[in-house]
Amino acid sequence: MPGQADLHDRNWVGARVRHVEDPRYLTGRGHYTDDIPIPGALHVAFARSTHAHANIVSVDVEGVMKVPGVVAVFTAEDLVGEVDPIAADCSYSTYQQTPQEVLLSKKSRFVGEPIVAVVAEDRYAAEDGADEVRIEYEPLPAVTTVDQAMEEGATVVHEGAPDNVHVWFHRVSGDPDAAFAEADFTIDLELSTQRYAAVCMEARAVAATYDEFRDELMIYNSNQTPHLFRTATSRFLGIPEHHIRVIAPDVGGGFGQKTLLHPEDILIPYLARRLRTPIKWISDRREDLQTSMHAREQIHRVSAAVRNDGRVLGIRARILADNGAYSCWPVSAALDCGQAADNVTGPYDIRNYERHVYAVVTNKTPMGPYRGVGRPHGCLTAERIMDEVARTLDMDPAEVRRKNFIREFPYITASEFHLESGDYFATLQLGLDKFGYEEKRKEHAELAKQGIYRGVGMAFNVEQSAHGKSEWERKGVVVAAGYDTAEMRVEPDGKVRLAVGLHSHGQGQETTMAQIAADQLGLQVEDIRVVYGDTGQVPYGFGSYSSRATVYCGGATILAARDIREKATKIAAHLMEANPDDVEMKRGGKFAVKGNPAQSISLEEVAKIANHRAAKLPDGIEPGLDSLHKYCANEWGSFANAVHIVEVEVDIETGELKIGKYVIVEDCGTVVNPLGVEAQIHGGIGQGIGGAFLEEMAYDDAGQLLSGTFMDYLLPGFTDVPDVDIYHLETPSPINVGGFKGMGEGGCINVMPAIANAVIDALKPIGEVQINTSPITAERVLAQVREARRHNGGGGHGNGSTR
Amino acid sequence: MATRERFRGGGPHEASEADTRRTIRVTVNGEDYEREVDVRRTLGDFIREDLRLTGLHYGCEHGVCGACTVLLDGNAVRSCLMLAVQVHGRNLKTIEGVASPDGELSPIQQAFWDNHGLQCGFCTPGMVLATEDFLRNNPNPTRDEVREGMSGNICRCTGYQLIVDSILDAAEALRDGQTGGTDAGAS
Amino acid sequence: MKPARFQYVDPHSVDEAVEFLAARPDEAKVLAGGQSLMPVINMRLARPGYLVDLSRVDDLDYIGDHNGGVRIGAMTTQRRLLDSPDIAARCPLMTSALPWIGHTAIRQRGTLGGSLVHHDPSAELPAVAVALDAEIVLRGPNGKRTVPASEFFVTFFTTTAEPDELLVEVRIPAAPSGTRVATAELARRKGDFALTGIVASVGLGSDGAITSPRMCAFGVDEVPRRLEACEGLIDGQRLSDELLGEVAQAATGAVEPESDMHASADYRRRMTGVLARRALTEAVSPDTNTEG
Repeated sequence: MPGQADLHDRNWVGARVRHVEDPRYLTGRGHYTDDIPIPGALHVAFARSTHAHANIVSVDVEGVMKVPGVVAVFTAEDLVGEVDPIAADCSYSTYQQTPQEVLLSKKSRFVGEPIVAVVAEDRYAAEDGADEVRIEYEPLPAVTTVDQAMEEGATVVHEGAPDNVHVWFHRVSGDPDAAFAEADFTIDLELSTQRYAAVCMEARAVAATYDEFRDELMIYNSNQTPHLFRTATSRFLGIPEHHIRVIAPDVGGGFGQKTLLHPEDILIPYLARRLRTPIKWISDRREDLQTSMHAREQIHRVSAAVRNDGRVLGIRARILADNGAYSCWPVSAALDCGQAADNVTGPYDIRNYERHVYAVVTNKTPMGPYRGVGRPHGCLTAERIMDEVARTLDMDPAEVRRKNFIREFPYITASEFHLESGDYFATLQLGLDKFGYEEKRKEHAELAKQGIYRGVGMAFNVEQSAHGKSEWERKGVVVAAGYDTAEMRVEPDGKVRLAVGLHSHGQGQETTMAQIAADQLGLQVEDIRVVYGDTGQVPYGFGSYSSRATVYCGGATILAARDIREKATKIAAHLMEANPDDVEMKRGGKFAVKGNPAQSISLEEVAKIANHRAAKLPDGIEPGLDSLHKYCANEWGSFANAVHIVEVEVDIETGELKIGKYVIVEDCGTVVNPLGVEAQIHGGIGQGIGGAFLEEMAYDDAGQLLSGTFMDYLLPGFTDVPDVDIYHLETPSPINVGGFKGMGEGGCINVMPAIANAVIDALKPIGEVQINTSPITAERVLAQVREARRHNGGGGHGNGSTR
Repeated sequence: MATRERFRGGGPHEASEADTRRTIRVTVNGEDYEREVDVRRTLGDFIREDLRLTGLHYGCEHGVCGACTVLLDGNAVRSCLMLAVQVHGRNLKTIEGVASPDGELSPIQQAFWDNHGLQCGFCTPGMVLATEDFLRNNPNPTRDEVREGMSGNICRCTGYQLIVDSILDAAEALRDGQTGGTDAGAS
Repeated sequence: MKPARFQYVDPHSVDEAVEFLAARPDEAKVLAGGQSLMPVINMRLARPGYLVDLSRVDDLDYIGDHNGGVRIGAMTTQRRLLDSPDIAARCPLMTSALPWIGHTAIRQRGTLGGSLVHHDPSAELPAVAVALDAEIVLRGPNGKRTVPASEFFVTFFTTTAEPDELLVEVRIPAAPSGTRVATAELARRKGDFALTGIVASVGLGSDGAITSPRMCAFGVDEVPRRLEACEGLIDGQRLSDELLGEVAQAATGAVEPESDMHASADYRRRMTGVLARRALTEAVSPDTNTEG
């Protein structure tokens, strides 16, 4: 029955269980793509474009074959008619497709595009070969900012296109004009998030072999969505899908970046098939920073209509995403900015909302979804608006939020989110209580008198997750993850093989899926083997991203288990000559006659009969004890919620920040493994801190990436990420089997706005500052402090409120 | 720009006493190996490719992330910043040498498992070995000392908090005299 | 990111090393700890024809006496220096600065000589050498010569050492007993190269007046910048808020920082003053250990 938490004999679900995958990682027996022994594999290195925008005049590879160890060289000429450019589709009418060649033939549109592929005995020799490539360029003017790209007369990056816009849309919900007419004042803000990226510890990797005898192209790829990559390989190489097998083995981090297709994903399998030799390409870190899809670069220019009692009546937003040179496959450039726009109203009852949204083409690395996907931007915008309302009206920020919270569920937002359940007041209140909000405020006021500046900031978020099939359609996505798969088999020995369409690369799903299945069948976790990541072993599924795996595969697992339980009960009843209604499943995988526990039969015995003794089965029951479900969960998605409340101290001489108490309250529906949920939040915090303070893909005016190594691209380390206190609420989802909601991205969404609000609060005794741009560097904070001192407590500068 | 100017160098020249290949003998996890290597082969590649000990991972190849950490004569080093030829006659410990030969986890590995101080596992081998070095020199650290002392290893998945918990747990276990695992390669 | 081809030689003595370098001065690079050179070699930004590895030269790893001060072999690792009670006693400023260098595994291999010759002006050890008037001993085909630290550093990544010279020893005069030291540094993350840094070493008379002040800024100029003007202001004086304000002013005027993606020149200049003040305050604070 949809709409209820449906769990049989709760035992494993909810338990804080150690993860079964951890021991192999701890002992160095993980099998990441480059660890898998592939005898005879040759290695690839690339000669890549060094110009952000240029015509390629000539490519000279004469010297390459002379290099010891080099076996072959490929340029675009060698791929004609064999490999199609990557091209993403989108159903929006304003969408312009931007085909991306796998090896460039004529033109480079961002620094790092591959031009020549060198195949050699090892990576050392391949790089020696790539050194010998000589490329002549005719540089063209590069557009490197959205404003530049959208200017009248700007250089158009894709010839034939009328402008530099991948896609745009304009939507109006409710009556914004009326809202702004009624408003007592407006809040006007420009919020800017820098370009940064997922930066997985394992950079991308592809290894392919062509099995001639079976006519099968076998591909190992460090990715999150093996079936999608199989589909892509089929499409762009023109090979039928049933002759391709993609395995995503152990994967060292994905965070959404590894759902996106890159040229190497297509080229390496092609080379393996063409050369009839195994081929490996293991990205190094420089290639990774330069070419693995970037994320997050958006500007939000917003205006909020506000009434004097603190109610936000409406919002107008202009959202510009710097999407780089190409639109990402499969979700297209429409996803990130669209999702950001959709999340601007957050947890608030704001029905009057107008937005102009643009995904802009620039001569930079293409941009795509990364953990959070637009929700960090939506949260930043909403939460900064709320705090500016509080400041303008001299109201408590918590009170302003309460004034505007959605109260009744289900609720359909201005962006058509169907919020199924939640209690935002409870989440907020628990957070304030655990943080000690009132006491902290008093403490801070005292400290300010001593010249110590501490403040509190909060950020609330409704975490859209597990997007449903209708939601994907609404986003314009035509390869849509609106369902997922569980195929459960009880083998003749009574053990269970559970194949699921997700991909686990740190989320612990080998354990959590087993926990769910174990509860359903009264078994132990050790009796269940979870299989994933292999298109040869799992029916079509969509992998893990958008916080969907537990909702979809957990739900599908429950449905499959239910089928098996029902069938096994019938078989057991038949074998015990009892009425199926009188037989129930008990812990330990036993079927017993109600009221007569001595009469029982094990799941193992049932499975043996079902598989080996067809003659003993009841009429109308097919042999075997298997079930396959492709579960659609819901139409639109599932919505968790969370609040972050953080204490910050500002050194007003240097602008440096120190984080003190950090409290998180998370409500994500039924929790399968609290250890896993906490781990996801911690991980999200780490990435949120990175984005808030440190990470940046910085480009110069010529489109050259300045932060091309870890010397300049700064990942947060042990001393950068604070300890956080996490508290749970559990409001089960009434619409998903199992009551689950997704939550894997939440940790990173609220960090920047919570900290921005805390810094502004800390500096209030000095004056009014604005923190609307990330990364929040010490230099930027200091500039704000100095500015505030100059104005000596008066109204802000630029951004602010207009009455 | 100064960097590029300074480091522009010449190409290969006629060999005199200088070599392009060397034979090295090295002890890894208590086992002796002899191999001929190209002098430019980095230590991490030697361990992964030539010895087929693939627990060690390369995360950056420029000495920042620590995923390639191994113990050289018991001390943590970045194997991406060493050449294989440099460990001739030396003692190495990799992640494969941490658990005992019969598979019993060391106290550090056990603590990481109990506290879920890992997720995708890619940085974990380097993290465990760095922890060994750290705890040997800091057997009773505070949370802040753990964070400072381990700051040379980067993790993208965990946000570090559960790793800190793991290391404090491991420290207690080691102080209580718990054993398990092996000392092979440590000195 | 694999090194380009090179030929490898690991001499067993300084003489052997110098002889090899003399024969092909422009084609060889010296490998000390590798923590600065190997990244550059892995990225193929350096493509030396020959790599001369000093790790088997056994007479370059020592900490010894030099007229009451210290003489340190060029291949002595940073970790060894950090753990050394002799360094803590005679050269407390170095002990104060060392924990700021990278991380444990970096210090395990990184050497004093390597750091000085590489000369990243954001690094701590060149600043310590300049602050303490260290002497840099070089060995070339024509013998030894000694260069004062104040003359050794020329500009970014450039020193007066010739291509056929090896840095073999660093001599540092003893710090007077009761010397107080501090290192103050601003970086994006702990262990990163400094955006701005100050090392400060002072004596404190019984009347509370400063004696033998030594201050050097790093990360804010093309060489470590000795802050003589600041030293002049505080020599023989007791520190006051007003005096510290003047010191900060003098410090910001003494340096010529550059802008990069991490911080502007203006911010670095400003922070030089702030850190100069903080370093001195910390050095004279009663909580500061006099024994490193």
